[in-house]
Amino acid sequence: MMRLKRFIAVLFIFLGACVDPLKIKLLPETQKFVVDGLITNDPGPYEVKLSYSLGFDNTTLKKPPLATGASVWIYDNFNTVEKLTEISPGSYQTSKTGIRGIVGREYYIRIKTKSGSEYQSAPQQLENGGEIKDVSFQFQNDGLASGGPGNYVDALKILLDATGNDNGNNLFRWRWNTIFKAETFPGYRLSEIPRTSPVKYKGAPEPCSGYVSSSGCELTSSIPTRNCATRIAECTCCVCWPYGYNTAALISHNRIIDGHEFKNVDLGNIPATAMQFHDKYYFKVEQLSLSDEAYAFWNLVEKQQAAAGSLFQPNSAKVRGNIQSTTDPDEEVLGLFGVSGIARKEMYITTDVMPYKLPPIDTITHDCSNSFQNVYASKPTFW
Amino acid sequence: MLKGNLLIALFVVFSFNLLAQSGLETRLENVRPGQPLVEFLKEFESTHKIKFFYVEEWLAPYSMLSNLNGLPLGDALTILFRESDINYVFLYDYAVILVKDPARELERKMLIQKAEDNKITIDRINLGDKQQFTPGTRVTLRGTVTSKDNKLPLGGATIFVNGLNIGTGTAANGKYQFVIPGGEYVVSYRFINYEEKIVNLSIYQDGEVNMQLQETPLTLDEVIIRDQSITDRRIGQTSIRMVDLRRSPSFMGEKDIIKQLQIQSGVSTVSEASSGFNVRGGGADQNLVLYDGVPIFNTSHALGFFTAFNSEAVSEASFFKGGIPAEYGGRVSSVLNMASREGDYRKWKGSAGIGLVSSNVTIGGPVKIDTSSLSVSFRTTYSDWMLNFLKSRYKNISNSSIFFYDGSIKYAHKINKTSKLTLSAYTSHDKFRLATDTANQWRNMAFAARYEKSLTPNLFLNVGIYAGQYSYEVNKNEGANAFELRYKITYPSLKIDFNHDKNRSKQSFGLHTTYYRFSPGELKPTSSESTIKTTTMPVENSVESALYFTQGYTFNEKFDAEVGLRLSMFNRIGPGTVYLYKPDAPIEVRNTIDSIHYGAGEMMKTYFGPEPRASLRYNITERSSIKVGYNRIYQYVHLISNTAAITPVDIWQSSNTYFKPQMADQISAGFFNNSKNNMYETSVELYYKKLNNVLDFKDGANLILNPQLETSLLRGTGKAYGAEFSVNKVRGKMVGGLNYTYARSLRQVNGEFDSEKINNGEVYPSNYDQPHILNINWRYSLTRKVFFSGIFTYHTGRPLSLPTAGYIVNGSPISDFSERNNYRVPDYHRLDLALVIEGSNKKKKLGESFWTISIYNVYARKNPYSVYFVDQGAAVLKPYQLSIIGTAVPSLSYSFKF
Repeated sequence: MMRLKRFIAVLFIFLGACVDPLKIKLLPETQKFVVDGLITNDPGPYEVKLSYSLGFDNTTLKKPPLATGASVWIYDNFNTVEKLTEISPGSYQTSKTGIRGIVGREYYIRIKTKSGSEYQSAPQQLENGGEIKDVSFQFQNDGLASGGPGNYVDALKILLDATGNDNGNNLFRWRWNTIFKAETFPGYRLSEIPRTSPVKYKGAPEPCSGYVSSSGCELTSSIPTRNCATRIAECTCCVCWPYGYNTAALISHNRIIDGHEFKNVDLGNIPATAMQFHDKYYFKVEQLSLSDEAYAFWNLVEKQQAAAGSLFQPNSAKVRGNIQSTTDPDEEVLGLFGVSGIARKEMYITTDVMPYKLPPIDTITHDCSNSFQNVYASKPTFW
Repeated sequence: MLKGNLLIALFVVFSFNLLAQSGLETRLENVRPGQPLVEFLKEFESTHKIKFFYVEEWLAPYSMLSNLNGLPLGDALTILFRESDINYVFLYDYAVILVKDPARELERKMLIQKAEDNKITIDRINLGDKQQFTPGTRVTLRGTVTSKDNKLPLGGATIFVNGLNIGTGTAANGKYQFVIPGGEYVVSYRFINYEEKIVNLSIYQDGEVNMQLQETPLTLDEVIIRDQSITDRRIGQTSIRMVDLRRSPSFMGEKDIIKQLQIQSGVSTVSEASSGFNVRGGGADQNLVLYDGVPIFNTSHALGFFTAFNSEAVSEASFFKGGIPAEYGGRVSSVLNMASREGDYRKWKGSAGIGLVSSNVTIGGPVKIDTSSLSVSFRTTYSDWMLNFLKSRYKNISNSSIFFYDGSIKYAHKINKTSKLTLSAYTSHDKFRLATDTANQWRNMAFAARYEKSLTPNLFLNVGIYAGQYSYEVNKNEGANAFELRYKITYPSLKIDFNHDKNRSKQSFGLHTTYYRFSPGELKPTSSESTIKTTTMPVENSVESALYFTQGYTFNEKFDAEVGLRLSMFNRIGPGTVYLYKPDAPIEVRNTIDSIHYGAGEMMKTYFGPEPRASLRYNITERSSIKVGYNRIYQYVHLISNTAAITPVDIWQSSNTYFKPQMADQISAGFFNNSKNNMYETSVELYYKKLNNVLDFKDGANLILNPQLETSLLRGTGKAYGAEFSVNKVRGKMVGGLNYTYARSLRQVNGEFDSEKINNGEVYPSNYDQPHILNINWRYSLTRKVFFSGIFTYHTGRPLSLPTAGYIVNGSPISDFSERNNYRVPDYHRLDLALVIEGSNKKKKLGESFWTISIYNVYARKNPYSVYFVDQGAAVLKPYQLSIIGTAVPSLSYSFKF
C-alpha cells in the first residue's frame, strides 16, 4: 500500500493520475451461510456463531443477519458428541463441563438450520499449539495510520519468536489482543454560549461525569477546564478499557523458514501513545495450530488482504472454507470450523520500549466508552 | 482532347457493334503465317467488301498466325489481340475500326509522369524486340532484388506490374518471377524502408531485371505507386513501416513499435500501460518477440509505459497473427519479428532524438567501404532528473527513481559476393525504486551471429548462433527482512535455415534448437539482522528443438499455396526432482507421496509434437482474394502470473512432468479486396482458435520460490474466436484506417476435484476477453513535410472479479468475491493527436530535423490502469480504479540526422 501511494504520488505530478471509486453496477448477491467456530485444547465453553453474509454496500460486517434456532453438534472420533445451546441469537455454546478439545483427537461440526438445511465440516485433528518463546516490541515512529489521510501515530511493532512441534504439519496462526486503561474528562466539557462575540463558553459536563455546570460561569477560552463545573457525585464514565485485536490474518510461512523455528515474526503494529501507557498496557498473543484446510483458508484471507492496494492488481482470491452443505452440495458455504491447539503468552508492556518520555494524556471531554472504537466499560476480571 | 475524341468514338462504336456482325463472319483464307498483319489487312480489303481503319504503327508488331486459317474474321482478330490493348469494332456492315484502349497507355504515362514529378528514378528497360514479338505470347520476367548498400538479397520485396495489376514478392534469396503477356509496363519494386524503384519496361521476350534498392533516407516522402496490395500478402501478416511509426502520435514522444501494433485489428492490451499485448484472445506470454532472431522475454520499459526497443535502431518489423509459417514456433499466438538496422557501407550517418523521457542516438557507417559496416544505437532516460527536480516539493518521492536504457550494436561483413556475416547484440535494462521501498531491476540481453550464403543462385543458407538472457532482481537493503531475490533465464540457440526458390516452387527448411537454463529464484538475506532464510530454487535445464519444412507453390496467377510442417520436441533434462502425488487426490502439497531425483543429463520428460501449417490464397479477381490459414503451435515455456498484466517479476516456467506444453490450433479465413488502384483496402477475417493446457493460477497461489509450483496452478482449455473488419486508405494526402473486431476469449478449468475447478468448471471469460475493439488512425499531409495524424482506440473493459459480499471469521473481515471474471472494468477509449514536421526532404542535406508535437489522451479520459481494493475496516473491500493518465499529456520531441 505504501508503495502504491508513492507510485501514485509520482504519477500524479507527471500525468494527472487519479484514483476514483470504480463505478460498476454490482449484481445483488444471495446471502450465504457463514460459520465461525473454533474448538481448542483450552477448557470450554466453545462458541460457534452462525450468520449470513452481508452485501457490499453495508458499512460494517459486524452486525450480520443471524442464523437463529439452528441445531449445532460437535463430534470427536471417540464417539463424543455434544449439542450446543443458543446462548444469544446466532451464538451457540458448549457447556462448561461438556466436550473438551484434546490434542490428537479429531473434531467436526454438524449444523441443522431452522429451515432444515444441513452442513458439516470434515474431521480435523487437533494438533499441539507449540510454544511462544518470546515477544518483543520495536518502536516505530509514525508507525500507524490514524484517522484521516496523512495522520500517523507512533506505534510498536510486535515481533514474535515461537516454535512448533517436532512432528505434525507445523501450520500456525497467531492472534493477539491488547487492553489498556483509558481516562477521559467528561466533566470538563464546555459548550458555546449562543450569540456571544467574541465567543464565550460555559460548562457543559456530561451527566455521567458526576459534575454539573456552575451557574453564571463564563470562559473566553475553549480549553477544557473544570472551572465551570461542580462535582456532585462519582464519575461513572471517566475510565474504560479500550481493546484492540488483529484483523489481519497472521499465519506461519513455513516455506521460507528453517524447520519449525519462527523467529522475529512480524505480527503488525499497535498504537503507542501516552494514553496506552496511562496505566497498564496489556498484551496477549496466542498461537493456534491449524489443520491443512484451516491453513488454506487463512492463507487465502492473508492473500486477499495483501492483494488490497497492490499496484499490479493481483486477481483476488475467493476464500474457501471447510464447511459443506449435505443437503445441497452446490450451495456455497462460507467460514470455518477451526480445530486448534493453543499456546499463549500474555504480559504488560512497559514504557521502557518508548524512546522518549511520554507527554501527559490528552484531555478528552467525552464519555470514555464513546471515545474509543472498542471498549470494555467495566474493568476486565483479570485486571 | 485526343482522349475525349477516342472515348466518343468508342462509345459510338460499341453502341452499333451488336447490330452488324455479319461482315465479321467472313472466314479467312490463304493465311500465310508470319505475314505482317497490315499487309494481310490490305489484301483482305482488296478481296472483300470490308474496310479497315487503323494506325499502321499500332499494328506493326502483329503478324499472321497459322491457326487463324479458316476462322471467321472476328475470331481471328480476337485471338490476335488477346491480352493486348487493341480492340476492334465493326460498323455499318463494312467498317472494322481498330482502336487502341487508351486507359492502359494513359495510366502508364501518368504513373511515369507522377514518378518523375517526385524525382523517382525511372529506368527504361527493353527486353526483346517488339517487331519480332508474336502478339499474345507470354513471357517470363525474372530477377533478383538486392540491397544497394550491402548487395545482399532482399527477401519479401514486392514487385508490382501496373496495367496488369499483379504483384509478387521475392523469396528469401531475393528472387522473383512473373509470367506476363509481352508488352509495355510500369513495374515498381518496393521494400519496406527502402526507396522505391520504377522501371518503364518493354518486354517482348523472357528476360531478367535485377534491381538494387537503396535504403530510404528517413525523411524521404513515401511515393507509393502501388504498395504490396492487401490481396497479395499472406493471411494474418502485417508489416510495420518505420515511417508510419514516426508520423503517428506517441506517448511522451516515445515512438513505440508495440503500441503501433496495438492499433492493428486483433491486437489489444489489457490496460493503459501494460507490458504485454494480446493477440486474438491469447495471453501476453504467447507472443514470440524476436530481435535479430533472439526471443525477448521482457518487451517493455518502466512497467509497460514504453517499449524496450528503440525504433531508430529497428529497420523492419513484421507481424503474424495467423497462418504463422513453419519457420516460427514456440509461442502459440503471434510472431513479431524485428531486425535491427545495419550500418551504411559507404559513409557514416547518424540520427539523434531528444524527448521528454529519453534521448537516443544512432550512428552507423562503413568499417571498410563496401565490405563491412557498423551500427550502434543507444537510448536512455533522464526521468531521474525530473524526479530530483520535484524532490523539494514532494518529500515522499525523494528516494524514488525510474531509470532505463537500451542499446543495440550490429556489425556486418560481406565476405564475398555470396556470403555475409552479421554480429549483433542488444540489451535493455530497467531500474525502478519507490521511496524507501524495494528496488526492482530487470534486464534483457541478446546476441546473434549470423552467416548468410547463396549456395547456388536458387539456394540460400542462413546459419545463426544466438544467445539470450533475461533476468530480474529485487532488492531491499534495510530492516529485519532485507533481502535480494534473483531470477534468470539463459537461452543459447542454434538455427540453420535453407531457402530454395525455383520457378513456381519455393521451399524452406531448417533446424532450430534452443537450450534453456532457468534459475527460478534465489533469495538471500542482505543484512546481518535480516531473518530471511537463503532459499535457492534448483536450476532447470531443458532443450527445445524443431525441424521444419515448408513448400510453397504458385499454381497459376489465381492460386498459390504454402504448406509446412514443424516437428518440435522438448526435453526437460536433469538434474531435478519430480514430486509424486496421491493418484486419487488433488495435486496439493499435502498429497505429496514421494519424489524422484534425476541426475545431471538424465531425461526427465520429453514432449514431441507435429505442427502442421498452411496458408492458401485464391485471387477471385485481380482486386480481390480469399485467403485461408491454419496453424498448430506448441509452446513449451509459460508465463506464470496471478496478475492481469505482465509484471516484470513474473515467473517463466518451462514445461515439465506436470506442465504440459500449451497447444493452439488456429484456423483463419479472410476476404480481401482493394479498389481504386489499391488506394482502398478492405478485409474481413474470421478466426477460431483452440488452446490446450492453458495454465491458470489457484486462488491464493504462491508463485515465487515454490519448488512444487504444480500445486499452485490449474490446467485448462481455452478458445477464442472473432471477426476482424478493416478498411484502409493507403495512398493519397490522407491515409488511414478503421478496423473493428468482435472477439471472444474464453477459458475453462474443470479439474477432477473441486479445488481444481474455476467457476465450478464452467466456461468463463479470460483476462483478455474484450469483445469490441475499434481503432481509427489517420495521417493527413498538410504539406509534404507536415503531417497531422491521430489515433482513436476503443475497447471493452477487460473482465475482473469483484468483492460483492462480506463476513467475519474470528475477528477478520473477509470479502466474498464474485465468480472469476464476472465483471468488467469500464470501457477503454482514447484519442491521440500529433503534428509532425519534417525538416528537409533532400537526401544529401546535412542536419535534417524532425519535430513531433503529440497530445496523448486528448479528451482526458480516465482509463483504468488497474483496479485495486481498499480495506474499509470491518466492511467489504472497496474497489477503486487507478487512472495513471488522467489528463491530456502533451509532449514535444526533436530528432535530427547527421
